Amino acid sequence: MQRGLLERLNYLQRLVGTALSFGFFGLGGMAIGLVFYPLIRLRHRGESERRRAARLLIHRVFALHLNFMRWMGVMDYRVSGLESLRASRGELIVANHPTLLDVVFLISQLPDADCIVRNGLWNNPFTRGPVRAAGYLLNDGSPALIERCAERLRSGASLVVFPEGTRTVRGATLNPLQRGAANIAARSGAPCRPVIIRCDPLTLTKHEKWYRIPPRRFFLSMEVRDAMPVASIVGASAGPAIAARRINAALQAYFMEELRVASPADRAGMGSGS
Amino acid sequence: MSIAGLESREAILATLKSVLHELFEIDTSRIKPESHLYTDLDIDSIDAADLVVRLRELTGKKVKPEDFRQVRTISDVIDVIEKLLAA
Repeated sequence: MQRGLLERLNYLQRLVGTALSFGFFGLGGMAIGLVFYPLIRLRHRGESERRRAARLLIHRVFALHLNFMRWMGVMDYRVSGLESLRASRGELIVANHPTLLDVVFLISQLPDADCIVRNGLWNNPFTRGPVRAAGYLLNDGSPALIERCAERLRSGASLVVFPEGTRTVRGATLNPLQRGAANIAARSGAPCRPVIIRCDPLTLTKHEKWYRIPPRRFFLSMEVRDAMPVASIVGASAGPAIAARRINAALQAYFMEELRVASPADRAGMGSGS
Repeated sequence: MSIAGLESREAILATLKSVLHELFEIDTSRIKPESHLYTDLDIDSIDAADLVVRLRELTGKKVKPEDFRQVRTISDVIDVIEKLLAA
């Protein structure tokens, strides 16, 4: 009986924590656009300084957001290979996309990264301020986006991409990768650094309502892997479209293989055991 | 005014096959007039832009991406090329 009560209290705490997290996310997004970014604009004159300051702010707010969720007992997280992520310059950071939190999780570890955002976030009242201030790239569906991404990479910023295009379908290991990310790699020559994201128990997947919280606190992990040199995947003579196909196949095989096996922590018996 | 490899629908199809193989390594036996570019041949919008550039070189005509907006199948591509050459 006692145990049942504690469990229900824990459930309620996590439900309230989740609700507050969603609320704060929206409010934070609004506040960045309406209050903080105007302050940044007052302090910094140049376009690139403003952009860098906005990204640093978003990075800190996302870290705060994750730590709030952890403090509320909603989730816990772990990052392995953080040093190589922090040192990353001009790389394509390629991650799988199991949950809604993946972008928050990645950016919380990256103080100055580029992102590609879809139209919805570009125009959403809660997110339009921050995504525009940070100079993220809008995916307008045009092939010109590839060249804009390649330019950013050449200028030294790393770019976060989720080649699955949308969150992983529940029950699947990985969605078939769209070739956009591989095309950016093929046409920019930037190295691809894979990041494996896992969530256990799985939650906040596509079409899942926020209040459908998992039976226990979820654990989000990120494993930053060694960068894959693109040239060695492609071979010398291939044109960019063929190079993109080969890179895409290599990424697909890599992620499938890595996601099929348990994470190192699970193998060591620290995981859920489910 | 005919360009080598583009004299008839059959010739255009043959040229298109070799172009698609050269650009995207698509097996030519899979390329038929009714083949759907996106679903059957796995050509995406970025590939389509590459294809437009290649067709511009081949025809020597000002091929605009808009000309391909309605294009779904290989047969549609042949229609567009025929129309361009007749213009």
